[in-house]
Amino acid sequence: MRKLLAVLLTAGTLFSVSAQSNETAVIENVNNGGVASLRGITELDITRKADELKRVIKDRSPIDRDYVYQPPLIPHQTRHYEVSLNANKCLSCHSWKYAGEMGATKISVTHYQSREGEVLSDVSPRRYFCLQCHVTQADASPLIDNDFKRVDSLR
Amino acid sequence: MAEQEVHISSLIIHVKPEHLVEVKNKISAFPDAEIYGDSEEGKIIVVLETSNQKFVTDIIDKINNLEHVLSTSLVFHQIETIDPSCEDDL
Amino acid sequence: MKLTRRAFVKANAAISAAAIAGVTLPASATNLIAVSDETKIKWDKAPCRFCGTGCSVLVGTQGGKVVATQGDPEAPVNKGLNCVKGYFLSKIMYGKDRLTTPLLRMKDGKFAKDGEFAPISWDQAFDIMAEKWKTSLKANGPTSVGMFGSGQWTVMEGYAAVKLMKAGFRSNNIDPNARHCMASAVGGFMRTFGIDEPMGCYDDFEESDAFVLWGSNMAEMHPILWTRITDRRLSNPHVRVNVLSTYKHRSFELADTGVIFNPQSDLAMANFIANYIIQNDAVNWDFVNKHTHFKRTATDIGYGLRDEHPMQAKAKNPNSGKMTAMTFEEYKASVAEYTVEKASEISGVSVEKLIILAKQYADPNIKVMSLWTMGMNQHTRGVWMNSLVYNIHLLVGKISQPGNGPFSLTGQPSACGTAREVGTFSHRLPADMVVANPKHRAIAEKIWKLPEGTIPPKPGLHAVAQNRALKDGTLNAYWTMCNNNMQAAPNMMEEGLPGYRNPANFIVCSDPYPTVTAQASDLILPTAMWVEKEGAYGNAERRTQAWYQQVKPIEGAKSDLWQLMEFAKRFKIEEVWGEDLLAKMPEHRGKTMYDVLYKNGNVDAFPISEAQELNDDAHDQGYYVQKGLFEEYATFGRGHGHDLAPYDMYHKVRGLRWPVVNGVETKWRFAEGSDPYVGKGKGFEFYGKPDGKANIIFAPYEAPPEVPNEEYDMWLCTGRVLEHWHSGSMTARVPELYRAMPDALCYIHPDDAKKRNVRRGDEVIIESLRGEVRCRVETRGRNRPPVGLVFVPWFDARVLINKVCLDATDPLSKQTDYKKCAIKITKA
Repeated sequence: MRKLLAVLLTAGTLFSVSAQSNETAVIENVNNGGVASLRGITELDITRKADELKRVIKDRSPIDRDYVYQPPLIPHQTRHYEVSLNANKCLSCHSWKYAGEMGATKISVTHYQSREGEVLSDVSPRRYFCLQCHVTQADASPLIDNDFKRVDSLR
Repeated sequence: MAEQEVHISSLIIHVKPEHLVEVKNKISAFPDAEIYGDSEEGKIIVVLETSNQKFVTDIIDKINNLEHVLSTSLVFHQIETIDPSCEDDL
Repeated sequence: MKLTRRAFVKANAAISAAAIAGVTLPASATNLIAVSDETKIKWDKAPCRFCGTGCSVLVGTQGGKVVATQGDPEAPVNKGLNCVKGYFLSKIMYGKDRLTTPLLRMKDGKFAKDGEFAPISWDQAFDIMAEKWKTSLKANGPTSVGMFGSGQWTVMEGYAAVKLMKAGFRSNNIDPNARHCMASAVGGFMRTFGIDEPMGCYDDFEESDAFVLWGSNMAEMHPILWTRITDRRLSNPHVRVNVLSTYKHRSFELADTGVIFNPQSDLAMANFIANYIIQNDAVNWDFVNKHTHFKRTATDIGYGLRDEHPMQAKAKNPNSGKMTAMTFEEYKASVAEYTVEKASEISGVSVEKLIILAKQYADPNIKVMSLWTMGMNQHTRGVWMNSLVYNIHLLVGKISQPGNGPFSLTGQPSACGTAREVGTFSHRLPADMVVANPKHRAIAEKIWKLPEGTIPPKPGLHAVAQNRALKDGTLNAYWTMCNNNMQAAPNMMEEGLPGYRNPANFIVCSDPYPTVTAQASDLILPTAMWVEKEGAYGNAERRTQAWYQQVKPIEGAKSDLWQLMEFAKRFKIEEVWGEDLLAKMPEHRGKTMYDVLYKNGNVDAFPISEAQELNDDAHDQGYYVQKGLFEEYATFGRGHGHDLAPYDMYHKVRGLRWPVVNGVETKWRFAEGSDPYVGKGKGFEFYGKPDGKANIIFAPYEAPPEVPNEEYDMWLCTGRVLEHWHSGSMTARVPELYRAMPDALCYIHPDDAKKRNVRRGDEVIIESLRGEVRCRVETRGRNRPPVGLVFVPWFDARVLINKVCLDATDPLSKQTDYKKCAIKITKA
């Protein structure tokens, strides 16, 4: 029953069950009752082996969006990119000025608007830290699948 | 490459209500602007389709400078790369 | 007609602009997309489900599902922006493992503590719960039942829960997870000002000349507020940003002055700044004389550990919050020992940087905003530290003015609204009242139409004490709702887990998803979330925001409010109240607890016709339950400095900041002209205190409870990350957010890594006296700790860093210190 329920509850989800058969419980009565969480069905008192370090995908073409207001994901690595008071590495390719030459996606013109809605001649300072909205993606399967569905017209 | 860039953006334009019709006529004259709706309080919903984001800001500036326009705010902007050969017929 | 993507995007652009402007589009404009009503996207507002910033979002629904979200351009908080989590809100309800049925541990068709989870009906779930609660009440009385709630509860849910526990079961054993994040802030406010929550508001961001972050990584934890600071800094070159932390993080990217200080030494730095202000004759005497008193607090107060813990037993004045009056001269002498040299020695910060910092506070022409979150609150001297920062602002009179003021940020969407204002803490009642005060109890009993003596006077068990009581077997029937405390609470291996699994206890967990807390429980209740119900949240700037239900819950799931109310129906009032109480109000005889608490003429005052058609909670009870709860709750604060607007108003606006008097919100409390409670000609009035004066409270530097030694030779600091909210139960189920930050890594200095013979990506064992975890090492990531300290985020259920954390708390606020304990690291 226990295994069956675990399968039932996590139908369609992916989780890795690490090899822990040699480890024993350290607290009495610990038993997840067959329910899997984000840590899978590894018992709570077990020290779980760390997952492999994931690689960030690099230099892919733009990743499809699920709805029109979704900020584009970053299809490349950003390690060691400096975005600070001194420099903004993202803008050195994605700004309107350089995007064509660099073959990069242009930043949206919404980014040229101030908090009060005035149109500015350059990227609004409130949009300066790109990584608050745009994030890289590891080359990994989701922990749990998601049933979100796009509207028909975007499918 | 057959792909071309299309910038789609939407604006809320707030005008003095008594000049609504007059401003709407002027906006309609912009080739890239399309009016989708308006309200008695003087708000106009405009969608722009341009080939370049500079044009978006240009049009916003131009609309802003029209007489009786109180404010223009950009709500939405997206760049679509559209392969013309894939366009369906409406 | 097939719709092109281009036409779709255009129609969508028009519709969202129209939704914001309140313009109705003619059919000709929308029929591009609206082939039928089925395909139309309906837009409505809601506050973001995540942090205490309180951004407003527009939620697009179609066919009963959320299909899109976007930042709300009309919202003053975020003006159209969201952080990456906010932009992915549309996916948080659709993780594939949403719970759809109650699950009970069973063996041979009956409940068994060591059984396997099996589906049961809601009826059966309440049957077993009621049985366990009744058995517990009979055998061990009201103190044997308890509840752990949330700063993510809606205002109405928190309020209903307080009534259920404090008036229904007559147990003060209800505490929110906000205890882990805001209790020290509350303590600081009450001791200094006598009234909770910030005096300033977010408008300060656009007015300030200098920002000082005292232990807050706003770039990751409050990204939208960070955009406002970034905007201010980059648009105005004279503005200065100062970031103080025990390790380098993303907020340092904007810092003009970045300060890395030794854990706990913020106490010394704050006292130095006060000393500097006095030594350099920068005291605002007019302000100080008119509006402040000087106090000193009892010292050597322990660390909130179990009484028998050696570190606790050593304390001279355990848990004492006693304050005694002193003169300015005595205060001056007390801070005089915190010279720049001494502060530098304790903190490890250069003299030069300390002076740069102090000068900004001392200069009357610089408007300063101090900001903090968990670095200061999750601190065994958090209450002291909150007040030490207030001391600085009070000494120079930089408070309650645009751009000038201390600002305590919150971590949860309704830590302020629900946990603090409603008073879901074990010692509190609504509107800053406390159970220990007989007058306060009498006020609550009157509003609730209950007999005198209903509410027990003794404060109940706080968060950490609840886990200890579970382990000790003195708290037996326990409901944890809208939180993931098995992953959150400190010292999981010695307290939390043994407590939940103690055969003497029955643990119920309400959650939308199977969390680690659910895995440790005995009964799991599938719960509706966010826009699957109507509710209201209160953010960090006192802004109350309401939203309508926008979709039906996932089949089988029910809201927290419904669960609380249905459970209340399972008890006759005779089963929870004694004869003495019943004799005072014999008209309640034979009624259910639900009737007495909620069908009281207040909560059920508004007919169902006033509610939206889509409002499951209201239709299930037959009246507009959210409005009734809100209005009864609002009675507590109206006329007492906590005034809320009429409930319906909140559905029309993007929130209002209380006190809302005559329909007008308050931006700066305690300031004449802005706050209607301040008397004419007073200038400023700290009316939370009887004489209108705030306290400047001296507290010294005291060492933390556990410091690295030869064996456990490093500091561990834990906290959040941008991409995940809290324990990740929502965000880790969004594939994009998971992929953006898949694993909790151990951020470590390259020299420390080298010393332990580990390289980036290697697996290590992190071990304290209490437990161990394994994770991989990052030496060049976004967090750069100094030598001797590591940072490990706690969103990751596969790691559970709380196994390692020490359950030391601030002895006054009872809030855990998650920012410092001693650990050792070895290669796995």
